[in-house]
Amino acid sequence: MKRNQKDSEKTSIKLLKKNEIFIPVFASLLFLTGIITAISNVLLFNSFLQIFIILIGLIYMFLAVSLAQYKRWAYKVTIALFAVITVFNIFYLFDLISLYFQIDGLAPTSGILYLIFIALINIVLNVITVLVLIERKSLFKR
Amino acid sequence: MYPLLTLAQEVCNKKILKSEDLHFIIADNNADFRYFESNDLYKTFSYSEYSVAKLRRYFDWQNFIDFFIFIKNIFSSFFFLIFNRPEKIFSKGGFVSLPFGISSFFLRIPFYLHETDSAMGLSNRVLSKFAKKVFTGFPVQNIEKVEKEKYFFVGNPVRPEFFKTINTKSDINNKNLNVLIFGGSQGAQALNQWARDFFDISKNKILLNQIKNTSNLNIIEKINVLIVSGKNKSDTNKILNINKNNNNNLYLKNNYLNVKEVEFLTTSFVDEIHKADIVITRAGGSVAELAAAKKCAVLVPLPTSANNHQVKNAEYFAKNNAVLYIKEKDLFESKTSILLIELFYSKEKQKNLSKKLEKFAKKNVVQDIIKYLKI
Repeated sequence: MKRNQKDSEKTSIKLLKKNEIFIPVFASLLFLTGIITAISNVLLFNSFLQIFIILIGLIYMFLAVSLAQYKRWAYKVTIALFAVITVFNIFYLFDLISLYFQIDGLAPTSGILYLIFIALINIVLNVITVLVLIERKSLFKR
Repeated sequence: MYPLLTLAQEVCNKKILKSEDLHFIIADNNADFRYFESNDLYKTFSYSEYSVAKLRRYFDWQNFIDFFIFIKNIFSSFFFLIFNRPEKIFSKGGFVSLPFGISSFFLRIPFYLHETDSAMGLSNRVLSKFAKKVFTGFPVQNIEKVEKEKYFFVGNPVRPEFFKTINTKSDINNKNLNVLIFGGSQGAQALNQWARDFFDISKNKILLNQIKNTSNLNIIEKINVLIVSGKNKSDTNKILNINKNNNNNLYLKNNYLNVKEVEFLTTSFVDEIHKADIVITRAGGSVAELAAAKKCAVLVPLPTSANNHQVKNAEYFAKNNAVLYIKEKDLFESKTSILLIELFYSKEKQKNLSKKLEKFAKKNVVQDIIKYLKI
């Protein structure tokens, strides 16, 4: 979308959910994640297990579209989904930490440290997402 | 653009919505965009420009490029709607609104469509599937293959200025004939060429013979012709030549036939329409404006218009004897010249046509649309 340079002079568009930016950004990212997951697995298809991943991509897209419509069920499903992912991530983090301490002195630990770092970021982001979603409960229609 | 602006201004005037509650989506680099820019409308209404991806039903390399532009537009309209979440979308159709119609369907945003013509174009046929309600400018039975229950015949929105009656007292004794010719964007070239030939006395002997008839000079004292040629389509040298030829003619005294050509009419368009006695134009959305302004119209439909909608529009009005309908292929025929000249010199015929066309003018179009939109 090309915007005119006189944009600053223009009036802003009224939002249905005024000043709400988190849900659109979150829904857009979720949609993009879904579409990229689905398309990349369709293009690089080499095992039937990938059908499951393509389905997950499609579910993400569907969830994103429903979230963008401020549907209550989508809100609940997203919170549940992210809570489950967070729990899995925590187990994964514990696994990585125990693996890190099992490795003797000269083993290549930087890779594991990197994975621990990623898992930590994942957990933090997921927790923030869930908390912000809970905080925006009133936006979602019953 | 004009019908959309009419609706927007009415909604704001009646304080149903504020101007910041409305957002326009317009095609970039076209007449709508120029109108928006030149009239400072961007200060009142916010807008976004979109490049239009058309599906041409003939071979054109642009189709391949447009395929990617269309995909891009689908995504950008989808994210635009997610971020701005309008309550309702009202569209006048066309390829610029196609991505928005599709995206609104997925995001469950009510989409309303207005079809100006008596035949739907490809984009509007697709959009009508996604639309909650479709408003039409022509009676629904004129539109083929439709799901009748979601179609509502409301007419075409016309700016209120067209309905204002000008002071006719001074016009009763006015023996000037004002002819306005405009062909829009696509169809201007052929009309311009015809007009330049028609009003050139050195070429048009039929018109010259009529003028030679002195009794006709009592009916019309002066003929003023204004050709709105369109961007980069004017030929000022030719017009100068025409006026020179006409002025040098023995029978045309005192600048009897005055031909003027301009590229654009923007703010003075309504005034020019009101000033004109006869308007020669294509058979697009402007016919509703001519009906509102009670004008005598000569319609020359564009034969290459999408789905032949202009011919169908013109046929609809001609069936009711409300316009003089001339096919483009007949423009340069002598029988057409005779018909037109007869119309020029007969105030009664002009009055008759304008009276019949006036019956097609609907005043409450905008109110009806607002009622159906439930805003």
